[in-house]
Amino acid sequence: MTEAVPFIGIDRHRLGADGRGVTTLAAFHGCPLRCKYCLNRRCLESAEGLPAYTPEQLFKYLSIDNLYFIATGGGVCFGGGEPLLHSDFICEFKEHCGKSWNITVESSLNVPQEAVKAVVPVVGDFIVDIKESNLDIYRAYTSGDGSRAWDNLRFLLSVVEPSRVMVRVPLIKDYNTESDTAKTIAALTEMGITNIDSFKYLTDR
Amino acid sequence: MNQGRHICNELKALRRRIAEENGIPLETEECTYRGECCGTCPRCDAEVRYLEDALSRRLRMGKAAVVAGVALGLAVSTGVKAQNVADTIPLKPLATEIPDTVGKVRVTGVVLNSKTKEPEPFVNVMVIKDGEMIGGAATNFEGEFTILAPCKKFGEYEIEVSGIGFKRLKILINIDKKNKDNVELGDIYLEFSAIQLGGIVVTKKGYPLMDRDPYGAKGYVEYDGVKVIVK
Repeated sequence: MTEAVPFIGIDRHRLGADGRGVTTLAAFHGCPLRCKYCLNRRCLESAEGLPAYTPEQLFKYLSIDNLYFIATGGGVCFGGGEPLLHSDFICEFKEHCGKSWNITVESSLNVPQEAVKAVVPVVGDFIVDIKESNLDIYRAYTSGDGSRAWDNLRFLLSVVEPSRVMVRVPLIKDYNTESDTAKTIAALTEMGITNIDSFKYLTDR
Repeated sequence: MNQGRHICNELKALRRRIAEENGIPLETEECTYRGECCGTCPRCDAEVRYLEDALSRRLRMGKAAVVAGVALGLAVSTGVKAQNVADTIPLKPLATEIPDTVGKVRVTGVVLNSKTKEPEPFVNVMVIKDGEMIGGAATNFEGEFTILAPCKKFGEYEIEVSGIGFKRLKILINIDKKNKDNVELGDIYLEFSAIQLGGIVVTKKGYPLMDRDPYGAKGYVEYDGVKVIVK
C-alpha cells in the first residue's frame, strides 16, 4: 500500500484546462528537473508543512466533484512537480476511482521508463512538457538530460494511441528561438504526434 | 466577470442540466456575492450533494439516473494551460489518520440489485472484526467498492453490506497468508427488504395528512446548514 505523499496544491473546477471536462489538478511535490521559469517552485522546496495524502484519502477528498467528473467526462489531472515520480500512487488511486474518472498526467517524462510503463494502463491522457529537442538547450534550461524524456516519448507512442498524447512545445525566453521550436515540432510530427500545443513560457514572475 | 464567477456559472448550468435530465426539482438562485470568487462555495457544494442523494433515490426506485455524458460539450478544451497552483485554495490537513498496523488488506467487490442485476450506488460496505468496524466504503455509480482494512491478525472477519430498502447482508471471510493483501468478493447481490403490513380498511376519503414530496415539504433540503431550494 502506498504511503502518504506530499502535495503542493489541489485546484478544483478547472474547465478544459487539462483536456476534456471538469478536472481537478492534484500537484505532487518533487521534481527531477530545475527549470529556470518553473511555475510551481514550491515543488522544489522542502516538503515540510505540506499536506500529505494516501491514494484513498485523496480519492475521498476529491470525490466531492464526482458528479461533475462523470457528467463531463473529466476527472483528475496529476501534475506537480513530476507526477511520474509517484507512479504507484497514481495506479492505486485509479483502483479507488475506477472507470468513471479520467486520469490525466502532465509530465516531463524525464523519469525511469518503468514509471511511464506502470501508469500506461490507468492514465487516459498524457500531457507531455517536452521542453526542447536540442539537448544542449534542454540541459541549459532544466539542468537535466533530455534524452531520457525523448526516449520515453518514443516508448509511449509505441504503446498508446497518438490521440492520447498532447505535447507542449514552449518558446523559452533567453533559451530557445522560434526556429528551435519549429525543429522540435518537426521532430514530433515525424514521430507521429498529432496534438501539439505551441506556446510561450511566462517569465515575468 | 472574474474567472471564478465564470466557473460558478458553468457549474450551476451543469447542475441544472443534471437535474432536468433526471426530473429532479432544483431551483438555482442567482448568486448575489460580488467579491472575488473561486468558483464554488458551500451552497454550490450542497447542491451537488442534494443531486447525488436524489440520483441515488431514483436508482433505488428502479429508475434510470442520467449523468454520464450529460454535458460532454461543457468545458470543451480551450487548449492546455500551464499549471499554476499558486492561486489554489489553501489545503487543510486531513483529520483522519491511518494508524500503523501489521498490514492492510484490500477488499473489493461489486454490489448489484438481485432483481434488476443493476449496480447499486451509495451502498455501505463495512469490514468488522470482533464487533468493531475497521474499514468501510460506499459503492460508486458502478456499484464498485474498495476498502483498505487494517487487519492486525489473521482469522475470521465480517463484511456487512447495507443500503436503504435492502436486507442487510453479512459475509464471513477468512484472512490468511494467501489472501492477506487482496480479498475479491466479486458480485454481491442485495435483496429488497419486504415489510409485510397488516391489512387496513378504507372507510372514508379525505385529504392527505402530509405532503409525500420526497424532496422536502418545506421547499428546501439542508446540508450542513446550507439550504438547497427545491421548489
